[in-house]
Amino acid sequence: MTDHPLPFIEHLTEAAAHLPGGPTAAALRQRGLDHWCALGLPGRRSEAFKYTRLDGLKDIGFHAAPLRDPHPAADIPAGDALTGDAHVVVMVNGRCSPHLSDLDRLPDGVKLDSLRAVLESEPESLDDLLGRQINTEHHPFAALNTGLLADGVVLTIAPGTTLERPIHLIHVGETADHALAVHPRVLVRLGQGSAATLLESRIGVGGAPCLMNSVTEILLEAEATLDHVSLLNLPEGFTSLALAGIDLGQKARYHGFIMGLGAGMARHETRIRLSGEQAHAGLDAAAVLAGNQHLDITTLIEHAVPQCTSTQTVKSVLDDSARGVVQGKVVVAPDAQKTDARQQFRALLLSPKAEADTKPELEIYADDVACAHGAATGALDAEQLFYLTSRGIDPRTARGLLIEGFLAEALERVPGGAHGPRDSLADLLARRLSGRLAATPDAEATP
Amino acid sequence: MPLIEIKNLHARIGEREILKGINLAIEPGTVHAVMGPNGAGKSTLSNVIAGREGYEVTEGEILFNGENIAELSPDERARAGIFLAFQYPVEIPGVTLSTFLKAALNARRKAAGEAEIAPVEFLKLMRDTARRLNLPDDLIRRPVNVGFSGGEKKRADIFQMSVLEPTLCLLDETDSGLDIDALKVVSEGVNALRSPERGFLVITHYQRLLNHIVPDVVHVFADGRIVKTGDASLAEELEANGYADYTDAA
Repeated sequence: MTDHPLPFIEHLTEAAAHLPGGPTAAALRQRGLDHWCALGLPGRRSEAFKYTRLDGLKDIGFHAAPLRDPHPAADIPAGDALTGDAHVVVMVNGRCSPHLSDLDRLPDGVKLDSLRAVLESEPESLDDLLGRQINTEHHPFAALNTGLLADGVVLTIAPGTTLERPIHLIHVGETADHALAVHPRVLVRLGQGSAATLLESRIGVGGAPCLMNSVTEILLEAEATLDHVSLLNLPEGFTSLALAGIDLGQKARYHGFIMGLGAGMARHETRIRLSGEQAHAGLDAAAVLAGNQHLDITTLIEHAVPQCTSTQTVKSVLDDSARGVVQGKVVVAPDAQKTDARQQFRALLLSPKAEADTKPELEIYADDVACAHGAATGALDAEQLFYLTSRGIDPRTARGLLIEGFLAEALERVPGGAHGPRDSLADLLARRLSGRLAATPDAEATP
Repeated sequence: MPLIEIKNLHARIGEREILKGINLAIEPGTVHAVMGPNGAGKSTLSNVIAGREGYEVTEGEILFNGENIAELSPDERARAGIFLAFQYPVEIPGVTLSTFLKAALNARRKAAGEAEIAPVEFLKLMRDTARRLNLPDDLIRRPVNVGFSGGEKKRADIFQMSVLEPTLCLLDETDSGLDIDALKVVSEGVNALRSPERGFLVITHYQRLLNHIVPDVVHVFADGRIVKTGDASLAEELEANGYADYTDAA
């Protein structure tokens, strides 16, 4: 047991009286509070957080974000976010900002509201969505998010609707003179046979630390398709914790992609349940970290029924003293015959002080399945570098090309074209790589 | 002035001396062939000229256009006009041949004080060169050498050479692993580049390549030294009698 008082407990107890929503929301929050009290910050013995120590959070003294609407002139570092033609929704410090968003110019069949508004006006519409895709009993930060449930976004796509332009959710963390903790909740429901692209950018400004602790719950009904691209591009003083719970019905398709460019400390966990036959989940990630950045990508893909497929490709490029953690688990239930599940995790170390911790894990209870996983960690290949430089390309450009080439496979399945985010991701990546990353093979670690 | 002049070149890998005093001068417009048994140091010579890491030059010098290139990095040598066609061209996953060659071409242009190549001009150059070498049109959109057959890799290296137009072409066992049709295509590609200002160093184990790329000068390598120099007829003599005379002598 810890000698410290449990952090955030004041936020939880003070907030309860003012938060929106009826008795269902209140009961959910109470469960979140109970579970947070039971779990607390994960300590040394937590297997799930083994490589990602977060006990430092208790010393920061976070303030709760104000419940009122954010200032309309929020200074958004838009250049750090994804770009392109999209329906934009901005959340500043966990609060949906209607004046910065395009909530009212949506095509037929698409509903996009602030969670707070829905909790106030029709909380019963959330009964089969809110709190259904995640389990707060075993996940401390999901419990904390639930205990402070107040705002976020609710996206509903009607059956049969195909959304041409993506929805782009921009999470902005904005701190001034004190540290801030924000806990947004995103709820997404895709009706039968619908299709959409959801983009999320996590960006921030401000000198004081910020904890962004988000929970996303996504329900894909039969034959629905979702492309979900998340960009993590936060300042050093920020901590980003995210949990996404995703459920796929029959023949539904989900493709997630995470681009990790930073935050001082980040842990992104995705839990996917394939609960309808012939559903497919893809979950790829590319990370480029330097300095003392830490990114933990944890995934669980649960094959609950037969004939589902899943693929995961995670590529990490680590420079200086950066640390990349990838924990990926696939569980195949006893009935889930004809499962095809593949995982591939690779890390490229550009500095002797960089560290990659990779843990692929298969738990298979069915006998007629095809499962494969692989993990590899290495440095840039000297033969490849010589080949490029022997054609006149300078070593810095050559290293940049090899790094881009290494990451390319993870980006392959991201939608391109006029509305797809692939070009925007490639631009952000090129910008990042044109910096110090490709400069020297053994760059000095930043203090 | 010779295009390249190698004087008393000694080089080693670790403690092992591979080149034991090479003297060789290639005039512009000529093709020199280097023949010899495996392990004679043929590939080492081309790697040392190209500036590959891991070789230590302990004595002698290499003058390229009259300048000592000892202090130049591989990319600087390439921009100065040296090209090495690899014995084993390297696969670069995720980097298309187009991206790679555009970077290489523009690096050379920049060094020469020229503007970057226009996209349309670049595409035309790629397409025309690919056709000439009997390579598929989609080649440039594929990752460099990934999934290519042995013959395609060699042709792709000659493709790069044709696009970059170096003044000194080093061909390291370009014929190894080629069937007769691929050998013809590669040879035609090389012959098309022969010109009064360009020189070639063709390294090969077998004479058959030299039926297609007819050399002006043939050198026989054994144990890190040039043991005999002659004209194209020397290659035929080697084909008939083998290297035994020279290896015993060395």
